[in-house]
Amino acid sequence: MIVTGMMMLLYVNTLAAQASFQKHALQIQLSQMTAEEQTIASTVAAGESPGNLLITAQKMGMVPAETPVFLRLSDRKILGKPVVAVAPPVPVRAAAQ
Amino acid sequence: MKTPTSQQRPNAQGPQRPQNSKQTYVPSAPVMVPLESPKKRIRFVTFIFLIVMSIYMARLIEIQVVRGPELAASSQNSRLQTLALPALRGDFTDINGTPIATTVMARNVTVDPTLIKDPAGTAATLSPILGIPVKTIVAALTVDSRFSYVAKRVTPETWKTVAALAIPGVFSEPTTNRVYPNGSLAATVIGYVGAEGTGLGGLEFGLNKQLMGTDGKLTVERVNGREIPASERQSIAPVDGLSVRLTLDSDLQAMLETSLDAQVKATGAEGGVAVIMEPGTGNILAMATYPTFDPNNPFATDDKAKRNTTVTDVFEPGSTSKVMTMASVIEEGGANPGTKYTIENRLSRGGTSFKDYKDHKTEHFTLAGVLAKSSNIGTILASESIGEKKLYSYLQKFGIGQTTGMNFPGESTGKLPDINNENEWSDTTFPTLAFGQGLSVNAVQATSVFATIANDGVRMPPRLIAGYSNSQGAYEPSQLADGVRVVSAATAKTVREMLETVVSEDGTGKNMQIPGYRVGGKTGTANRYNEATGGYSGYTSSFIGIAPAEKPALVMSVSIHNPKTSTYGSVVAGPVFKKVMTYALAHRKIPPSTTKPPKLPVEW
Repeated sequence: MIVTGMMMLLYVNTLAAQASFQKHALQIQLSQMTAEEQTIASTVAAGESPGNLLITAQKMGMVPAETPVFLRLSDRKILGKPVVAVAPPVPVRAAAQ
Repeated sequence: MKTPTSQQRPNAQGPQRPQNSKQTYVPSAPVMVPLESPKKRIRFVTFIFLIVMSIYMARLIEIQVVRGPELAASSQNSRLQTLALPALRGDFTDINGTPIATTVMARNVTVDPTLIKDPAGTAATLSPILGIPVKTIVAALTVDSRFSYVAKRVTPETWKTVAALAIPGVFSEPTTNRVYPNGSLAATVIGYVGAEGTGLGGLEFGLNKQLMGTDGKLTVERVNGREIPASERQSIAPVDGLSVRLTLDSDLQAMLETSLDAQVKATGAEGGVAVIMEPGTGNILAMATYPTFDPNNPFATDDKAKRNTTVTDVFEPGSTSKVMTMASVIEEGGANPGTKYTIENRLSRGGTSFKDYKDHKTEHFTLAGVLAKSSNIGTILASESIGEKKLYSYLQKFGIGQTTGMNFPGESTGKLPDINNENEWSDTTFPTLAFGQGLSVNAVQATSVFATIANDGVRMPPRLIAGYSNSQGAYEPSQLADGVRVVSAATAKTVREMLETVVSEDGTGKNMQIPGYRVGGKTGTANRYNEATGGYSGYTSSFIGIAPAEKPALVMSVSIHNPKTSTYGSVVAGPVFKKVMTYALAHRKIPPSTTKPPKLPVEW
């Protein structure tokens, strides 16, 4: 009985120690992955930023539309006059970031 | 083995043994032994044994009982580690949740200088990775201590590279870093943080307490960095700071900033401010300043450029202020848009001769015409129909000279001369105030005046913070303040129609027409008061407008200080208004106007 009990206790302790090692390794992995996630998130946020989007869009030759046209569903009326947008003569704020 | 030998042996051995023992046990020389009796010997050994045991016991008692708790504590201390669990600083997002300021994990690179054998070589290796000059690193590596910082707040990737070198004595500790993913977007509004992560400017400073949160701590028993299972531990969880959701719309903000930036440069101006407000709520959708700075690198810019000048700086509004005079006069029944005025080239009041922006022949303007042509003399004449006390009380109701209630750090309330103070109120004060000089406002107050007219006469206190969310993500919107009724809805509507006349072919603001939308607004050119010299020098050119005029959704003000190319509000500030308002109307999905603006006669 006693021997069995002692053996069991030893076994449980070993398991606990092993779990502790595992926990430590996982914690390191977790913090690394959190850091990685944050880095990716800030890259996305920077890419999404209006300033960068504007610059990217202009580089692709896109021009901001200045005369929006709305379709009113209730009476199917078109509000506003569509006009072809022209590229602004001066590029807006040359790459600020 | 042979049988005979085995038989012989017992015989041979038997007689020999006694012989041998007799030989050794020869008491030839008797020795004096003190404990020769066994009794004495036993006593002696027992005595020694007891002494030794009592020494052991004494030591045991000392360790276990006398110094017990102390020793246990010190042994535990060698294993116990208290780790600070830093609370994350709250984020700033715009109204749609786009992050403007956020906190990410970072590492401080630390060193135990006693373990560094070759400081110069180590520094040379670290320098290119950390981007720090070799000299600085050598200084950190040769400190006479067992701890010093090599680099603070490096990215986790940079630390990974350093850690891979496995330089003995180089360690790291976890920390956080404040980043602004949108760069300088809304920089003067958000502000910046110092090296220790506390806010030093803007809302980072003003809301520092809410953003900070409370650090936690974790006490664990550890061996070689690993927790001892089931060991005693104590943990206080950190409470992260509150995240702030602003009323700003980052798309509008970016558009306003770029346009203002371009126009200030194009006109050779000293600086500028612009604000977009939603009249129904008082929400500030964008507030831009020139100059501005990069909050990711705040110490590269002069402190002057870091102020949110839309609230910290005041200027005399000039003609845009005439809208308050008009609203008061109409509300009090002193005049209506058709009231006729004869406007001479000069008007004498309080011993001073007042004039209009340009010399002119005698004009015949209606009240609408006075505003459309921005006549100072006409405005003075109109204000006299209600008197100085009433005008004063309306200026107060519009919020002039009072805090906006935004609680923005460093806000300047501007100045409205006190009618009861003889030193502030002279004979020329009343006519001067009527056309917008002699009082000062910040850009938010100036915008708020037009927002009041746009919101049918109810002034909504300007609002910059939409709400807070806690670390669990629960969002609590901040309360909308109660509006203040300044003028009636009917008066506000009439004033809006007069503002549309300003933007008509007959007015000073005709360049600000936006195809498809009814726009009302007012141009302004004011003498700029220079605090350094105590006199006027240069001008502030401005335009404040409302769109769509029949059902206002947006109010925008643009003020540009000391432009060199022109001083007209319509030429200097107008283009920014037109460009950004056109974009804003489409961006906010505001349908074009379906009605035509009324044609108010401007002359008679």
